[in-house]
Amino acid sequence: MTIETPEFQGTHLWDRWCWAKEKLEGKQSDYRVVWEDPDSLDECAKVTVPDPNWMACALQGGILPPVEVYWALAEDEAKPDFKKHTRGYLLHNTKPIEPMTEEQAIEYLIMKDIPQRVWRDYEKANRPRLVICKKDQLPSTRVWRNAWKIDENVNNSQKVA
Amino acid sequence: MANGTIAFDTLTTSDQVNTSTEKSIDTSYIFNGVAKAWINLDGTGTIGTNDSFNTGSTTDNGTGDYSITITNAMSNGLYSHTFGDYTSDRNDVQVSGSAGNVPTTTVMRIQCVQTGNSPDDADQACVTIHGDLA
Repeated sequence: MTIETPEFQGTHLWDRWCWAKEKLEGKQSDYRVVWEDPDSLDECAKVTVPDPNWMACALQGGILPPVEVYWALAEDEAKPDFKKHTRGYLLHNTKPIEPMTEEQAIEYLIMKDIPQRVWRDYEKANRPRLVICKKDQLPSTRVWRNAWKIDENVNNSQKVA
Repeated sequence: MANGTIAFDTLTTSDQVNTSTEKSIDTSYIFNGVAKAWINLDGTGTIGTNDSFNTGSTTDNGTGDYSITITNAMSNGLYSHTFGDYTSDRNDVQVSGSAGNVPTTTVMRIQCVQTGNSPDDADQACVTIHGDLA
């Protein structure tokens, strides 16, 4: 059954989330984002996993704010005199984004939750520092987890880390 | 029949059964007290989320080291966070905020360790956040 999203622009994002939690089935994504922080080269590769409820909201559309809203809030928070958010209304009043495909949702998630220094100009880096892959392309056990690195010769059909 | 909405600012009870003294509570007080975000995270294998509310993603930073992002940002980083853990073969795994990683309005990084401070992956690492939303 198709569930129609109410007109949510102007509704508090938290209220939208309450609606989604009640109405939408969570979507476990097979996609994973493997990345390395260029500012911390000694650290192992990190793996970002979308939240099933968040993914359901992304696929449904009309719930999540544009990613630029998060960038604006992050800029505010980075200021030395930051005490608390004063532009939280951006989350609630900005027109929500339309339904996304799972792939578009992953791109959005990268831009929202992974530092810009990782994904900006990543194609120009001298070694891969961000790879979108499927869950089964990652090691199935966590043996030597803290030594995982992105395979420098990675392609889309092989193990990534 | 579709359910409607009741809008009110104050909830009052006569409390006749117990004290016969009227008691009132602001709905804003109720709202302020509820958890604004929570997650039950599976830290084994390729990590994942068992269930959650108001979280966007989890990041596996290494053994027992996970970051959780909050979708509706908190007002500031000084919110209250509560941690828990279930690991099937140990009773001594503890969860805490990750040292050196100050919570932000959208990211909480946690660390699961055994007695002796060695990192350990939790079967279920749980985080609950209370505080003010942005």
